[in-house]
Amino acid sequence: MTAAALTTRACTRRRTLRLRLRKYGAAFRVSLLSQLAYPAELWLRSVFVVVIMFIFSSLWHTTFAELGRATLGGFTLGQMLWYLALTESILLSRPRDALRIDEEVRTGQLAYQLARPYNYVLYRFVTASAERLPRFLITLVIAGAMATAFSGELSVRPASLLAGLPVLALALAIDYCFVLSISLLAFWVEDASPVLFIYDRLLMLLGGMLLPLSLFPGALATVARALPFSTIVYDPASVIVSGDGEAWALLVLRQVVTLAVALMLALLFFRYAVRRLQTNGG
Amino acid sequence: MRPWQTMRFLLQLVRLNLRAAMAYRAGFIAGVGFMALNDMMWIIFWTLFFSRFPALRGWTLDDVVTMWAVVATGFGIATGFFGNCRAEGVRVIVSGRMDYYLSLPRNVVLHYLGGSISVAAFGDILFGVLAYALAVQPAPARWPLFILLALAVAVIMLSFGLLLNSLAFWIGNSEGLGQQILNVMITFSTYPLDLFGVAVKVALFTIIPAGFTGYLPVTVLREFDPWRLGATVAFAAALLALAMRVFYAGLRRYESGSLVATQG
Repeated sequence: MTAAALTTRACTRRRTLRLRLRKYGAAFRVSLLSQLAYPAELWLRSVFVVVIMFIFSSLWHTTFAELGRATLGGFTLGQMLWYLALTESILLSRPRDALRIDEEVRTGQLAYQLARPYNYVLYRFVTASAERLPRFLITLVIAGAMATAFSGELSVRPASLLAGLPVLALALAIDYCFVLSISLLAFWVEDASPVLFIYDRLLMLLGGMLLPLSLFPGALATVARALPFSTIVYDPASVIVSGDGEAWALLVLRQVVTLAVALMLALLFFRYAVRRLQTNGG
Repeated sequence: MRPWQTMRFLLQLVRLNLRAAMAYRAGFIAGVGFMALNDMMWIIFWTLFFSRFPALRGWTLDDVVTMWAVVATGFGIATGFFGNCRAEGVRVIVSGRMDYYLSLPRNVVLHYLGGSISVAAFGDILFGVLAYALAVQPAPARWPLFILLALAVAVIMLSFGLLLNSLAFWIGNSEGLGQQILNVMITFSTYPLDLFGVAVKVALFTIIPAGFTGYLPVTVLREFDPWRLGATVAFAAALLALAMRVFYAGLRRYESGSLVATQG
């Protein structure tokens, strides 16, 4: 093969890749714009964030004051509230994409989606991320402002927040892969939402959303830290709040491994699920 | 309608709704079980919390479990048997489906409220009763008081829901707003009132009456106080009367959608 032919092939590959990326980029943009088209809904959703932040701020304020301690579980009051702001933002920002996938499977709509010229898993990931992004940011801004107002100090360094972006992105990606795997269970069970419900509750409790894992009793804390839920909730939030560089590097490594396993699981489920797909009529 | 006729009608309504929900037995059991599990998760949270910090402004784990038990049972009764007091009940008003309830010779507000049920709410009732029995282990004499207070909480929740849904007669589709306000009410009901400052406490006994559904019942069950019990029951009755008045005032503004539909 001549050098010219090799160059042409490389150019074609690059163009194909660019076109593919542009396709998902367009899907991301459309999904983001449709989210931003209803700003009132976005802000109305934040009412719950305000209430829960207010209640938990009062709870931790009282607890710190009654015990007369400067730190609890390694967190100062301000850090505890920022930890809460971050964990709330991670969990409350998740769109209802799982229920949509579940419904698509049950109604057979999925057959139409699969016929389209895109990778279904990637397309879903891109659109769900676009839907999650504004929700995440709005929740974090509101919850962070409340955490700062309640503690009277900005307990997170802006540099830590910036460095936390990759761990937050990885956390959301891991969460998405688990949610996708659970949604695809709809191929085997009538309704996958109960399993999703349990997953949500495990994230809230064993992930450390309600109470940091450092405040769990010994054995339970060890178990909870070993489970993948902590890579989605507790670890990203505590690393950002503490600003510990060494813990950050270890977390990124752990998250990459967890993401690889979660992605493989999701793709495996998808592969087997599609084989079970049956379409009738037009 | 005479009171006994109303009661008979109510029982028939509940029976029919339950039979319809039980038609999908697995779904019914799952709905009930998962809601009970959801409530249980909060008890686990509080157990972990109190294992580290034994008391919170005088509140103990037993107090918080009692609060959860009363609120869950009351909320379960309200939304389990009178499902249209949930924010979803607004859809009946805005889509013109009130015609069905208006055209029948039955108590309109009762028929509207009992027009649907929430299966998951029975999980709340199951959780509430079990949590109180197993975790708090009260003396047998406390049970009638618990039931009375749970019923009062149910009336407050139902009335508050009805008031919020009645907003739809004036401002149109208020489902999102109503849902958020109801969420605020339920959330505040399940946290110790002593965590908050005076201004919030006042708000929780007026605008969002969560103080009557969470705080007062717990203090009565902790140490019997006839005045506080009387205040809870009286508030429930007054709120119900107000909610019905507002609902009927709103009903005068209702415009039929001339919708033709079958009612299950």
